[in-house]
Amino acid sequence: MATITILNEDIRNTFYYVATIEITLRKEFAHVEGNKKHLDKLVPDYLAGKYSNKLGHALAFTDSISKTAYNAGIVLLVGTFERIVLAKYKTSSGNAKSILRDHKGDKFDYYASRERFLTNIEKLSEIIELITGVVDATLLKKLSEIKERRNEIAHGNVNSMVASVDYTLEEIAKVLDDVIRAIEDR
Amino acid sequence: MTKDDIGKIINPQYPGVYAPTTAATKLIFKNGLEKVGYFQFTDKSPELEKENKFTFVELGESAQQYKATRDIKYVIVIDGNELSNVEYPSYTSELLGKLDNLKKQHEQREPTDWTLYKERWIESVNSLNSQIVYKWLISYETVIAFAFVPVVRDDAHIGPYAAMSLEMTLPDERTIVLEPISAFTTEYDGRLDLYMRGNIYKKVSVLRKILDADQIGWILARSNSFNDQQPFNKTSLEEIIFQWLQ
Repeated sequence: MATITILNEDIRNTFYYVATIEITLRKEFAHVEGNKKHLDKLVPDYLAGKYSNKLGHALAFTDSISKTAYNAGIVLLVGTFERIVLAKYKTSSGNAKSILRDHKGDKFDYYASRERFLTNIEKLSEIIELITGVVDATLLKKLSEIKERRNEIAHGNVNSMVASVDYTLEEIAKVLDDVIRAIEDR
Repeated sequence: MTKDDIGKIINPQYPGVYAPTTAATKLIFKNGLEKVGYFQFTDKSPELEKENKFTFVELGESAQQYKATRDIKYVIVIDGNELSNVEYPSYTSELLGKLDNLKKQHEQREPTDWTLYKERWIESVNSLNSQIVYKWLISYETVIAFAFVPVVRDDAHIGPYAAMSLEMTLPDERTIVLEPISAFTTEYDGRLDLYMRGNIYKKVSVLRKILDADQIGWILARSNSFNDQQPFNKTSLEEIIFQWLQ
């Protein structure tokens, strides 16, 4: 049996939920391939018969559901990641405030600017900017691609750059977990 | 360094210079030079190995060109005796910086004409679709029904446009779709997805690589791993359809 190691508990739990949804869909949709009417057992009553009359329509509909579930999985995983990382930086920000209180002197301006920077981090792109040079370049590239995908789902494809190959939800969870670990190791 | 020295670093469980890899390998030479890429087995490899020499593809332009063409001219020969160390996996920010610089230099030298780029992208997709229907799979025309379906896309720089998706319907009504996704990716010059309708977990990326002003190369990528990427051609298309029908 394949195993996957995700150390962060929140990321791990979110991954387990989205992976289970994906597998459930995959198993149910395999039945639709053999029997298009199986779709009527899965959809809300008011959609029964709407997509199940032709196999092509039924399969196109299941594709859309699979893609939606995948996209939702990305948003959930990235959302969990943002929550964890922002909480970590806010803790760092609190530490910086203590230092400010305890060590007034020449370095005041430096800490003040750092403080403002830390408390204003609200976006994933700013997290990426902050950890550039802290985590390795390959990991950062993967994180940036995942961020682009999340942005594409959330805001449309206007400025986002598509990854050459879609990451699986497992790969995404692993990348996010690796980034958290890299930050914690610093 | 011998093949065993190198192999142990790359993958202790599969000791061989050409072991499957998922990340880049960094070679550090005795003269201080460094190269980042991956060892690639070729027809020449067994003979070269007798002289402690190995075939290697450098990351960046060479790797992309090699994946698209499998042309041996993009493969270099590494003398094991000249190596002082090998790092695997190689996480090098210097490389990324260098590639970014190359990209910037390239952009500064030749500002992209986005209208032309869009036209070439649409033309490339149409040309690939035609090649599949009228050349690669022509002998299957009695068992596969082909249909071109317009899809609308909206990409950065080039805006909205219509391109053709190719649907290949098998005798049992299952359909394999080749769908344009984007005129750009993070590494390549466009991407289509090839998938089985109703089972999108059977999906691969087909990546466009502009080789030069007149030539386009296509890469079939099953995953982000180097080993899962090969030229997209008649053979690889037939192979993937065969696998999906199992």
